[in-house]
Amino acid sequence: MGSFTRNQFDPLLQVAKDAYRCGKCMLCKYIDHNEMSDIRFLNICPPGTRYQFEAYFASGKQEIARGLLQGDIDYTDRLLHAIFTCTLCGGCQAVCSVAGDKNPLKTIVALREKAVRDGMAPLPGHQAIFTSIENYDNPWQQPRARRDAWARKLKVKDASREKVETLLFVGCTYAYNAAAQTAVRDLARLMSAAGLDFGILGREEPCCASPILRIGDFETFRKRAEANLRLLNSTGAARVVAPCAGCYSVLKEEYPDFGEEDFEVISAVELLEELVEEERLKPRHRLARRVTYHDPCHLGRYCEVYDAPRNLLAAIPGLELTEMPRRRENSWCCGSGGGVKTAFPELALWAAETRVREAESVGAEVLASACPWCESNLRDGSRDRLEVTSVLTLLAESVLREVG
Amino acid sequence: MAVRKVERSRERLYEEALAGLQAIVGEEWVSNDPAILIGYSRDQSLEIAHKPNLVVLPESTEQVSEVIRLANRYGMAVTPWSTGGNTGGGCIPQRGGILLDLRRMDRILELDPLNMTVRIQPNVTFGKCYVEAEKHGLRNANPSAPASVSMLANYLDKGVFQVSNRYGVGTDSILGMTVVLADGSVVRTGCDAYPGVGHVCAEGPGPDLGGIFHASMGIFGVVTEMVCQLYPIPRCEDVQSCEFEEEDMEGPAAYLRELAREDCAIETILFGDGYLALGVSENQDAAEVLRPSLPRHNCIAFIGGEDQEEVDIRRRQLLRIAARTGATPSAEALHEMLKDLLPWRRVFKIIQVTPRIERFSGMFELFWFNIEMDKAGEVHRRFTQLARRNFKDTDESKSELPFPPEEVTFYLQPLEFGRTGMLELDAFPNQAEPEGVKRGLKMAAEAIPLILDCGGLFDRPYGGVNSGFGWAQTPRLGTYYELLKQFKATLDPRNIMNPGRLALPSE
Repeated sequence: MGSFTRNQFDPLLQVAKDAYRCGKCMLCKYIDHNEMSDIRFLNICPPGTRYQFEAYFASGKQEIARGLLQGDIDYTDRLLHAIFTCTLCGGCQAVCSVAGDKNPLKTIVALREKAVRDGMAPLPGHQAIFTSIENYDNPWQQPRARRDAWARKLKVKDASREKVETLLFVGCTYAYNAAAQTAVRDLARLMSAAGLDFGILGREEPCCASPILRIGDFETFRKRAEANLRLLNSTGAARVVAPCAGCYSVLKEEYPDFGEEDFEVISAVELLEELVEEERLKPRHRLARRVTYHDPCHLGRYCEVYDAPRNLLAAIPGLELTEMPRRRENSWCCGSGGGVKTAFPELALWAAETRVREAESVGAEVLASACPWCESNLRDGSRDRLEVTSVLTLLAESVLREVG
Repeated sequence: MAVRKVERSRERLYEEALAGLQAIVGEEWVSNDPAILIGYSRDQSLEIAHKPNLVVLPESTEQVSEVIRLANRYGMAVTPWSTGGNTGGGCIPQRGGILLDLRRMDRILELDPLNMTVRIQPNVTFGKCYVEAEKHGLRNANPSAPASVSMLANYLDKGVFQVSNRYGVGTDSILGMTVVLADGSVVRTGCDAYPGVGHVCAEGPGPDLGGIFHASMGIFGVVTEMVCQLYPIPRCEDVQSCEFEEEDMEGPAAYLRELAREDCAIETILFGDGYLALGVSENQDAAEVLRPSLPRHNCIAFIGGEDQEEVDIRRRQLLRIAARTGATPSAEALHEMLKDLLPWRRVFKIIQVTPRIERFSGMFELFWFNIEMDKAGEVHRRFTQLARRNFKDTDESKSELPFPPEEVTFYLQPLEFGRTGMLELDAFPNQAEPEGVKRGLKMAAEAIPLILDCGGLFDRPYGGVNSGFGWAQTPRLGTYYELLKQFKATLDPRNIMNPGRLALPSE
């Protein structure tokens, strides 16, 4: 008898209870009322705020799930638009979980999974990602040969050939995106400065398959996750450090469903926080700038890493950390997650512009984050009004630059 | 064949109406797509789901007026929707037609700190208003609803608040309104009737026309602006709870009545152990652990004043009343828990109990009504007996309800300085099972006349299928009801405004 797998059933059956039980309290549209401070920044759902119809909020998606289950509605372009413009930021979930035991994010994920199984998705706008990952093992249509180009001038060990204590799982975006590479180079330099025994898989590093999962192709994700897990276990590294929030969240939260991880998964900001605490890295150079921090959804709401990046920023002499009205669990998504940046770039840009305005509202000169997707999208939204950078880069500036 | 012809002609009408609506608000803000429509098919109630035929999102009173004129031309039902959190099926378009989603009208148009008033649009939530009001040392009422619901709709629907003993129910806080009538014309009531007079006239001028729209659930028109009162936030606040162990509600109700009469607390509420446990706990499991340690009746009072001295004076006054009426001051441990609900905006945490317990295998059967305080005990006792009779021997193993099926949970708030109170009694049939649904329906059929016989009044007589409080009391209203029907026929001769919502038999 075969095992009881997720694949045998309509994914919506797993969330039917929530779809029927949604109490329509409408809390999923706003940040926690205890955190409300500026009426311009109370909303938590990017597609709902942009398109306004109920179907674009979590409460409406519960109705879509119920409608599909009951056969009341069928697929339309608008239905797919409502499902796939969600950035899967988990804001609705963060608020809903305060009040009840329901999981709207799970419903949205199930809707996507069902759409893929029913042959309605991936959408044309997502197809390039799938083809690219299949052909090049990254979503950016870049040759595998260039995957380690960012590290050429750095002396980083090749973990596919020699055993290292710590494996730096770079991620496709840090590896290929020119603007993002600065941050991962800074991270590698910081790890070297702290004397860590670390390496990268270079051209052998696979895509973590997060984009495939988020778009709803669970089966393809499962196969890739199982293969990736085998590869990572085979390196013998005790720790895997993931600087990309997307990679980190699947390595930490999803892969363990497919087998045991013989390593500890840690985000780059957590690792650096540890190194600063142990005084293996000393932020010495003064950075007299007013900085605000944007919580990446996959690092914050998905993995509850909120304090580490803030502690790093607070450790930098002269740096003034100022908080935006929407922060931590109540953070506003940058707009690029869940395949939105690829398929609905206008929505992604609108969400980023909204976030930049929020950063400006607290007088920030610098908008820092800890995810290459967020940083890239926020940079697009900023149009040079604000400096958008990584916490890794700011720390490197303070630690590695000569004082004087 | 004839049926198909009628359907084709209806479809053509809706297509025409779609084009007309697009011309009014722009293509982006209208839809007839089933995936969009289904989002509006349910609200907080257990009313039967139903989709509208069209949904439109206007951004101004003028656009609302044009939409209603169009609906009138086509004879299409119009269901207004502000935030969609209605507990009586008021937002469900049971007869299809046009769903008027007022979400884009979300501005605080004016806040006057000197006169303590605010002018709001329909999609201003309680949360949004209190963020602005707090900046001026002011507050709006905190409703028996989450911070995410429409303040305008809640006030209009006679929302009952923790501050209601002192400041009245929602409609008592309304100073003026802008209403779009069923023919598309606009009427301004109260202080807005004479432009430029400020906030001098909450009722009238002359006979109060505004009253016809109170608790009317949009059957006479759509309110697009409201001027409401705000209240001062006390500089110093504290909480004092007193408790009763006995099952009967007579003792707690008498204590609350005295408390209300002397007006020594800003917010007053009686919670049973079940609701209080849920309200102060992080989750269901924690609530179940806490509940056995809580007294059966918890009379919670938030007292406030200029400084600690005034708070202490009021506390002494409250404790004198407690001694007189047999209430026992609660233990320090409970006070510590309740202090977590200060400042006052955290009281919403308790209110979030509602969505937390809703729809566990269906929804709890909820009955809320006004009743004189000295009659609360009897109705509670008889209702409890009824619940036990109906739900005994229920198979609990299939239930995920937060309480046993024969349990009755409740809360009671004094109103009008103790002359009356708002009592909510909730029963928990296991609606996941057909047998539970059957028992639940039987319970409802017996509970409504019981409540009326005990002197209860359903002051918001919703006319929904499941929450049909209104239908049962209609025969007792006589000429009052006949007049309401005539108003409806005069103001909305084509019966397009949220038809069937208020229990008006002629609709």
